Amino acid sequence: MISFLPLGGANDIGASCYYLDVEGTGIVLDSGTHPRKIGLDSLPHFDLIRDKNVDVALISHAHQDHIDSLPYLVQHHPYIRIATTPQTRGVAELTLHNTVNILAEQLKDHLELRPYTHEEIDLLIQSIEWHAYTEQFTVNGYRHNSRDPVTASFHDAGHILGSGGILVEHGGRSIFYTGDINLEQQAIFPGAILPNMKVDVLILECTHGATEDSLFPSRDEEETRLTRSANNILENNGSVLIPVFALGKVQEMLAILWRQMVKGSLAKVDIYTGGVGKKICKVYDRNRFVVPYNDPEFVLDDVPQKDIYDIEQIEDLSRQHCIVLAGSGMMIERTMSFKLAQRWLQDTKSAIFTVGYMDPETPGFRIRHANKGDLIQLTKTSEPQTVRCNIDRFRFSAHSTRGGLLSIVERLNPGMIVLVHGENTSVDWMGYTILKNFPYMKVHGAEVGKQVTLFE
Amino acid sequence: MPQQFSIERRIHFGVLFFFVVMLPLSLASQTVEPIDRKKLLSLISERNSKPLLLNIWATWCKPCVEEFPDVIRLSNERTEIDVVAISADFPDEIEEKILPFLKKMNVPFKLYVADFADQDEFFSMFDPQWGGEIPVTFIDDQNGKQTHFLRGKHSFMEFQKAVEEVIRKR
Ligand SMILES: [Zn+2]
Repeated sequence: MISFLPLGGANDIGASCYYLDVEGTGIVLDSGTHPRKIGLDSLPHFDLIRDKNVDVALISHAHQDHIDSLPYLVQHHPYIRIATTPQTRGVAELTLHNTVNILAEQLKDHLELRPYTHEEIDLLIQSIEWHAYTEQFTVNGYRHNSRDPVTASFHDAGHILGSGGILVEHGGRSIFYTGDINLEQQAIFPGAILPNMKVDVLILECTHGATEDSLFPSRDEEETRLTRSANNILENNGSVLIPVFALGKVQEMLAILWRQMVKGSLAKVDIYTGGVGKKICKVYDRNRFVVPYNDPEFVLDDVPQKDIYDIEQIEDLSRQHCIVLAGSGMMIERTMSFKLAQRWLQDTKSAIFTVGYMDPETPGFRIRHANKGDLIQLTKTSEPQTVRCNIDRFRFSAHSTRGGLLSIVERLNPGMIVLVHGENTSVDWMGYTILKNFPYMKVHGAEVGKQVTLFE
Repeated sequence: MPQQFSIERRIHFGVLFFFVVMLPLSLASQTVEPIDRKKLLSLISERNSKPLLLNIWATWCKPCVEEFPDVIRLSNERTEIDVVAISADFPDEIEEKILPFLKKMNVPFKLYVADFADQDEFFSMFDPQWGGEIPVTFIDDQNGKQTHFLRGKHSFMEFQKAVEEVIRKR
């Protein structure tokens, strides 16, 4: 029997974690945390697999919501094998050490969960085995009860460096988990390379299931609009703050800003970056000949940058006539972008540009949906404040659009689909549309704790 | 009580281990040695009057793996230069990753795996323009002066051309 059990990241974006039982071999697909939640709440429901076979964890990419609970999974299952791509392992080494610092601070008031340590991360990273894209490897567990082996392979998902959809195969049957996936080209990456085959089961992310494709302008249009908008602010001696994820968005935005500056379209002002995002740029650069890049000759580290952490009075940054790329991407409390935003919001000449996904309950979401003159409250405990700066919204998504998701369905032509990683509205729209277009497919909306039998 | 491993059995096991595991390994033509800072410095500086082509690769890097047969061919056909390859895999991956890959080829030159506590220290041993991207190939003339810095995957013809240039210079 092959069954599928979501532990997190089902009808929600955050704490992605799914358990596959393939004839006695227990496979965990991803092990993330919920970016908005703290302590035990932020973890997947590991209790659901406490008494099950847990043999191997396969990690699709190094974003927090797909990898950050891995150290806790290993505490529960010390003998688990962990596999990912070499690039994800390289990036995770940086991001997980960074998470150690964040957790130490966050969990001070949450004694129910012990923050993991740098030593644990060192050991964890050493124990991660890596497999290049398309390389097939065996993952049979101790209690595997079939003569046919279970194999797995990663397939370039075009989302961020190292991201891979995961193909699990057993006895002629195939299950493909997209992870976070993007079929379309981004500034750095050319887009996903799907396995060239029909799969039996597709586990599909639905981030943009609720967003009409017409709301996604073309990348060129969006780059031009961002350039114009930034020039307007910079010409009037303002500064632009762009909250970004350290992994993926920093690199994409740097590539876009620099491309526009080199063309002479965007004013050549100082770009501020820093922290782990800057370190990740080096891992990107080192892999530029290894995995598909649009332009392997482009080097992120060659883009002139100043370091936010070198500035003594970060409050003064908004007066520096510059562009600041700061984490976190959703302006979560206590992060650099949150601190800077409080200053920016008061500055009539400056602007905050939002460029990516925002969880509806984050300060970033509130800012993204505010306009000049509005009164907003960033967190439950903070004082309401008037938005004095300009707010501009852009869409540079690292995820497939609806159309992209449907073409994944069409190309892999599965008999069964399990929808994950999307809010209810997204999952509903995807389910409805898939059934309308492909009436012979069986569609499930994943629910945490609800097991789905994929094969009897 | 768990069964004790008697001295005789240990010796027996040791002998068996030698014949079954160690001997085939030592008989295999290919060896890969860890290389640290000191060894790498002497490797680069000791030129024995020949130019040196130094290829840096890793088993996880597809273009490196694709390029490798061309490096081998170059080494076979151009004996007037020394060829050395350094793997950017981890030293503890020699058995599991590097040797299985090399088994398929007959490598005529010396192979190392970088053994540096800090990756950046390894990268800093070479051209300052190099940020650690692989595959990469450096060619030094017989005096140890770098003449070529080839980033990304190159073909036999491209290596051949670069080698011609170094030799002609001589
Ligand atoms: Zn992601």
